[in-house]
Amino acid sequence: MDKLTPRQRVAIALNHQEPDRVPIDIGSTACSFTNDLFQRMKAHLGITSRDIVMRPDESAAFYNDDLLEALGVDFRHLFLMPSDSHDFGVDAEGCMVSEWGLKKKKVDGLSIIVNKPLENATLDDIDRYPWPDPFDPSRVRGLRQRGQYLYEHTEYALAARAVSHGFFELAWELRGMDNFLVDMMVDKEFATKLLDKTLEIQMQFYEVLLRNVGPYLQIVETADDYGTQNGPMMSPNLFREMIKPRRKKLNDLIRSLAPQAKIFHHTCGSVYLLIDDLIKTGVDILNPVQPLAKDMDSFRLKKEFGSRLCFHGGVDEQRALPGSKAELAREIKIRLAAFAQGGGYIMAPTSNFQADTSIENILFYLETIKEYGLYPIRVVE
Amino acid sequence: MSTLQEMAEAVICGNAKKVKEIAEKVLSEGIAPQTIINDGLIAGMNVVGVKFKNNEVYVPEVLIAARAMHAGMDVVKPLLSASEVQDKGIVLIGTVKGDLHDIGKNLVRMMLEGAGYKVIDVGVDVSPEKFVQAVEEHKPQIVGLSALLTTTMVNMKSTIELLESHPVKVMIGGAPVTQKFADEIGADAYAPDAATAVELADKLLA
Repeated sequence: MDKLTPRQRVAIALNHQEPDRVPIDIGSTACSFTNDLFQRMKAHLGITSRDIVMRPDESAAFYNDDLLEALGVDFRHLFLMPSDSHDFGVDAEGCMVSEWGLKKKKVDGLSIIVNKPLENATLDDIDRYPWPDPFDPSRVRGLRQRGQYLYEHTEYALAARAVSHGFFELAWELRGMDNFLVDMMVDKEFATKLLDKTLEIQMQFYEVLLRNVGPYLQIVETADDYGTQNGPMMSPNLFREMIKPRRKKLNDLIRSLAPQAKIFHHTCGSVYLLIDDLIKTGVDILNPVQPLAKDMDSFRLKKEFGSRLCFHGGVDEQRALPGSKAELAREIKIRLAAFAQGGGYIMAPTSNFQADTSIENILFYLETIKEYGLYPIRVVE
Repeated sequence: MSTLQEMAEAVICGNAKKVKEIAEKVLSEGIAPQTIINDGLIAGMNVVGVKFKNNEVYVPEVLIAARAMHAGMDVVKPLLSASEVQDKGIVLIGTVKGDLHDIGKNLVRMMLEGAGYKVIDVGVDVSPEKFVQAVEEHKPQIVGLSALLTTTMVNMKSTIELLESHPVKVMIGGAPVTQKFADEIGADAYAPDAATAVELADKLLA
């Protein structure tokens, strides 16, 4: 029997203390389901209610409170919605254009960008580009009411995100990754201008989100991928020069509009060398702490950063989640042993559940956390 | 420092302008194009490969080094006579069916080119049948398969099966790929990073 409400459980964990069990998150844009699996899971559980389609151009586009209810998740999520006036229609080649002008194609259910609209752009082209309008009123239709309802009439922890991709990620998506990484080294004027632009729009998105639901939130989610499997995408020095001050600016804004909330940052891959800098920008929670990436040993991360940082994620989906139940149970126990001591941990997969993970494994994953995630955490066998 | 060492240093720093200038200078001094390529351009990229492997430099530094190397190659290569064009070998490279993530593959391509290989890049989302077609057309010694996703790396197996009757070695890599997986599907080599891909290509052809 759970002794605490989900909101209390999460609050205690985020305060670096041990609640009754490790909180469970599914449904954030960092740990939902890819579309086909989402619908299969709904069908499996007999859920027929309408979904929130918070990002039609992404691989994990859907959200549904009833699904989270059925799975026993501690969180409910709030999103800024896409603009009603944007056409998300699919063209003859199977492509959809995002509000940022990125053309995306679904290949085996995963959304892939196939154009680079700013590949040959000049400084002036950045000014002329048709950027999305953060203040479009259709983005917040029903948002404040939903936030207020969830806060006043449910006991779930509430988390919200304004955008799914970060300002660095958007800059390289628009320019092409190779090109933008080169810009950051040799054409700093262009790189700076593009980063400033994507940051400015992101800050406006967060301003709109938090002016509507800021007071209700325990977590404000942000994202920007800085890691590869083997190391950061750029040197720590280049990160400190180009990314860190902008991240700080964004986080300062979030803090000012939702001072009670913790700031969550999602970055895939090996980012050990950047964590101290990320904490200094105001990040309170790091996701998804991908265990198979280089230098991302869970025990070491907890030891070195655990007093200053909460961890969210951790359950490997490159091998364990699609693997056998025995492997999966072992993986869950290892992450609990590594991250859960003393609180400061919310368990989640390292990305959206992917098509190669079975429904059976996902249900088993949740049962296992509810069994082994009870405090005090038992040491791994 | 000799001029070619200076050229290698300029490659390492990613100074394309300087590499181009030195290339023009040493050519006018009568140094053989192949020597410039081996002792200047490739020598520089080799150092970058090692530094990248050791996390002393990162993707952006590799990209500007490759750019600098190409600036030199553009000057020198046209002067090689057909008989002088000595590629170390031909590597055909692509991401497997369903996978459009090409950053890792592009890095491997740059490293292989930097090490003196001729690289045929067949792009992204390449079906097993297309790999076979390309192998028959370009006759590489090595085929490199790349995948970022656990859901697409299974397509490495079907590609390897279809290539079985062709005289090529298959090297695989990508974030979720492991040595164990490589062994299971019968790949000849697994490269955990782009610099190792070069070392393994050398070994496969030795």
